[in-house]
Amino acid sequence: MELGRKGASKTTATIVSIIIAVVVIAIAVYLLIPQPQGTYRFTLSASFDKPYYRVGEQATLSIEITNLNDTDVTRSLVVQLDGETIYSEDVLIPASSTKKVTVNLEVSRPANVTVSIGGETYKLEVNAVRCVIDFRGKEVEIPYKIERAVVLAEYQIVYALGAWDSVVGISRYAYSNPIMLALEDINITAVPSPGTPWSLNLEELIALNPQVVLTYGFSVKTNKTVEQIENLGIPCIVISLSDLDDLYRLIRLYGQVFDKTDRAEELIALINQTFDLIKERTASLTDEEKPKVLHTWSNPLKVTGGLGVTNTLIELAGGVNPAAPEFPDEKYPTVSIEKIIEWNPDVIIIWGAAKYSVEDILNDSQWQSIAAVQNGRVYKYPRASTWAPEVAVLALRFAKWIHPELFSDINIQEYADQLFMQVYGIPSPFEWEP
Amino acid sequence: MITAKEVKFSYEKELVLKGIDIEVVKGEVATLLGPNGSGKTTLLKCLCALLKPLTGCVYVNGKDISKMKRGELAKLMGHVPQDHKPPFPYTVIDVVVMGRAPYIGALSIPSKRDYAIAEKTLEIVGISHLKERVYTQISGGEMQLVLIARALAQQPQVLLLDEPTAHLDFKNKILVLKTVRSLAKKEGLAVVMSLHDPNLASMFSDKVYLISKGIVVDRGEPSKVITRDNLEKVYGVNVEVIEQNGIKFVVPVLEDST
Amino acid sequence: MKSKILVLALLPIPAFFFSLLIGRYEIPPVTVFQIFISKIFNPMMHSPWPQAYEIVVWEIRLPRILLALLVGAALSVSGTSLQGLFRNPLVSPYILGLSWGASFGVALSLLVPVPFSAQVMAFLFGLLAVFLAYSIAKVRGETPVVSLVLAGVIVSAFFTALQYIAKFFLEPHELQGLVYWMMGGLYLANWEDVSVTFAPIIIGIILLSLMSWRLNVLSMGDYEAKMLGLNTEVNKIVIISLATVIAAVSVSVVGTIGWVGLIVPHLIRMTIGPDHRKLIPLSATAGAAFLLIADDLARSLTSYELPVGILTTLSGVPFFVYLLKKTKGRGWG
Repeated sequence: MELGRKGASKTTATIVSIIIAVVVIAIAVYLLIPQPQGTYRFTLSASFDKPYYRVGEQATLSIEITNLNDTDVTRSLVVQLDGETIYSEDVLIPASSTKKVTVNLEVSRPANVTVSIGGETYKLEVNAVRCVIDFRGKEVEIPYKIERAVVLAEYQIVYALGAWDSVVGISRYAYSNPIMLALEDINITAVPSPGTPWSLNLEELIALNPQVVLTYGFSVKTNKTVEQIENLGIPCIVISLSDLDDLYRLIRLYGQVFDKTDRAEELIALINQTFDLIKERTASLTDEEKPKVLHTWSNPLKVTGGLGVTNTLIELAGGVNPAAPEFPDEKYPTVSIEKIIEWNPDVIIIWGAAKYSVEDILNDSQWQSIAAVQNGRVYKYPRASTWAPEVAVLALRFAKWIHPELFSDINIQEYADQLFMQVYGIPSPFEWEP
Repeated sequence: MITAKEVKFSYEKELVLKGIDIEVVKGEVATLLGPNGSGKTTLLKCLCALLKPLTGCVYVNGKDISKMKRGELAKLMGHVPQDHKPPFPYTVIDVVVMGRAPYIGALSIPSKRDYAIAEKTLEIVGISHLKERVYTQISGGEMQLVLIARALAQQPQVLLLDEPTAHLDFKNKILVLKTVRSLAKKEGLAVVMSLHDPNLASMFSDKVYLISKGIVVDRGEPSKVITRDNLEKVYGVNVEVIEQNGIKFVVPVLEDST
Repeated sequence: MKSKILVLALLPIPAFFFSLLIGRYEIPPVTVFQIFISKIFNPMMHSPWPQAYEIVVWEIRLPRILLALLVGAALSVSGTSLQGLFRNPLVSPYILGLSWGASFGVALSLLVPVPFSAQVMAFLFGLLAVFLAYSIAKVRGETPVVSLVLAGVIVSAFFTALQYIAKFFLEPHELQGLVYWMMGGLYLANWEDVSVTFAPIIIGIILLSLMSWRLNVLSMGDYEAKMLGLNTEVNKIVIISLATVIAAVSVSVVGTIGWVGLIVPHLIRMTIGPDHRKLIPLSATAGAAFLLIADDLARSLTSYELPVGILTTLSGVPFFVYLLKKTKGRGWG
């Protein structure tokens, strides 16, 4: 027994001493072996001077590097934009101090930025917005990529541009638009609507969480609507339409907004193609050969004056608008029947949405002396909009009515179907009566 | 007391009042008696400054009323209209307290004292029991008494009544005139009222002004003024005057048809 | 009776809180109140809810609710005062041509370059119309009620005609804007609208409430009021002016909303009697609550906006017919 006890305490003592020895040696090793080359400690941070930039603006990236070591260190500072290196320089940082480096870069799109030096990495984002100028002449900042737009005006153009996937809300009037209803790949009545530019439910609008709203804004209710929407922090693109140039401008503007500029130019080219065709054929007409063409509106005495798309179309189609010289600055002057008889137009074209028909004019006793009535050259076009690419078809339709002999080879219905296919991907939902 | 001197008035070119003199003192009941068109309503309107005389003046307690502000005059003179069309179903007390208007500012409401005065006038006129009733639902006579109470609430010294018995039935005619008379005596008011019934004038007046075509044809105690000749002249009606209970009554004589 | 008065007086309060919860944008009720309280007491607090919630409650719902309360009260008090003055329960704030003058002012602002906004033009021309009506009605220094009403009809017809001329020259878009303006609506209400209307409406209502006993006396008719010592023309001018200003301010901001100024006074009068001392303040509170609830419906029934004027008219027309039959066409004056 006594031998065993002695033996046990001796074993314990040995084990304990071995453990102590190991620990001491480990500490000695740690303290005495020199650090490997290149393992210094830094802190790194970076920030941009603005929360977001317009595309094309200069951004200033301020980088702060703190050298925690007590020796001066030189390392390579690398800045990468979406993985692509845009800056790489060696930087000397004095011991135990902070060095500031600024890097300028031109912003072209939102991107992920990575700053790295000496094994340390700092990640941040550069936010970019695009800037477009709307019809107010205002610079409107919109997100770089539009994925949620509420379109209260000219929605068919958005479809024509191929940007319909970005639309989350439309004007209530779209539900009765013949083209929107005819489109096969979308169900227009299933798209939510917060109202119209004149009567808008703001809460409904916010619920749609739009990035941008496209609307009218120059008249007494719509301007307040725009003001309210912008007050809520949602950018507004305001448009207005007076003449054909506005239509081109509109298509280009929408193209810009939805980043479909190529397609916008395509649409414009399609329109111009038709116009060129008409111009070509009517180029050699003398003034005497141009018939007098009167365009009427919601009532037969309201005619097109010297301003507006229909006047432009008449002139383009080789006609002369007798109302233009007398009302050069008006779009819809109302005149008396005596005036119309005085003008004695050769052709009368009725607005597509008018409530009266060709027969109503032809049978009206007061109009009997007018050349157009006597020769049966009174026409009415379908309810197609002048504020859309199909204005080209309207132009052609006018041209064929005014100069049938120059356009006898063209079947307007076929032409319309073809143009609609190219613009909307469907044949024309209107009857053009070739 | 109320005095009119040489009052002339015309609506268009023709004179309706051709120079009237009136004098009524405290406690006196004076009646303007005459047929329709005699000018008595016009005269009454001149007396209470609803119309401005062409020439001549009206004085209350010696002061020219045309020089008084409306509010000032209303504290001296109360008026009970002939044709009152109730606009809304107010309660009787609310109507009567309107008589306190001359004493209440534009942005104020009647005080407790005003209400106390209004309730007192209801008592004087004898219709306290109608206090909370809607005044469009009471009888014609009671309505007239309400209007009299309202005028009384102005605490006036002169009370003018325009045909106070015009739309009343027999019983109410007597009731109203009795009340008016007792008011004059008890409250010391100078009362001027217009009547066209000579008998009522006889029964209830101290003084009668017989008016025809814009002039005072005769004036004085009823017994002196209400005579066969006067009435024939003014009304063109044949009458007989009889006396009963010390009061002169007029009985029209019907011509025999045969 | 006292309980009726209490209910009518306090009606706007539950209506207010109830309306905060109504809207097309879904926000949990508790959050709505949290937002409301935090915005008032601790505006700098970091918000745990999405910013959209705050915008909906504070920038959209709250100003709209306040505006509905203000305009509802203004139109009701205006209607009540004019009904008292004209001694007829079938009178509305627009009886002297206010609405037609105002809408012509808007049409004019669209046609002619004026240095004023459409809102200011509406206000100015609304006042002008009433002023004209009053001037036309003056006969020998007095304005009998029948004259005033007829003058109102004349002035309305006059401005309607002018408006047709203006519409003739307006372009379709502008025309549409004018139509919507005239229908009346609170859907673009913002804090600016509230700040513009708050002072004139509150002051006007307070002054009219203070003059409410006077109105009792004036309702007895010009002759009797004169006999009771009132300078009737001055009093009428003051009351008509106050009633017109609060209505004109309302119309300039929200367009012509009809029937509120007609139904509410009459309903309140039927409930608590014709004494204007109670009638005016209570028609203010009841009118405020009425328009607020109508507007709640207008903005939440469908995803678009129903013009609130349509809702008030739809509820008003059958009521007006009933009124007409009940009063049996009784007197103008």
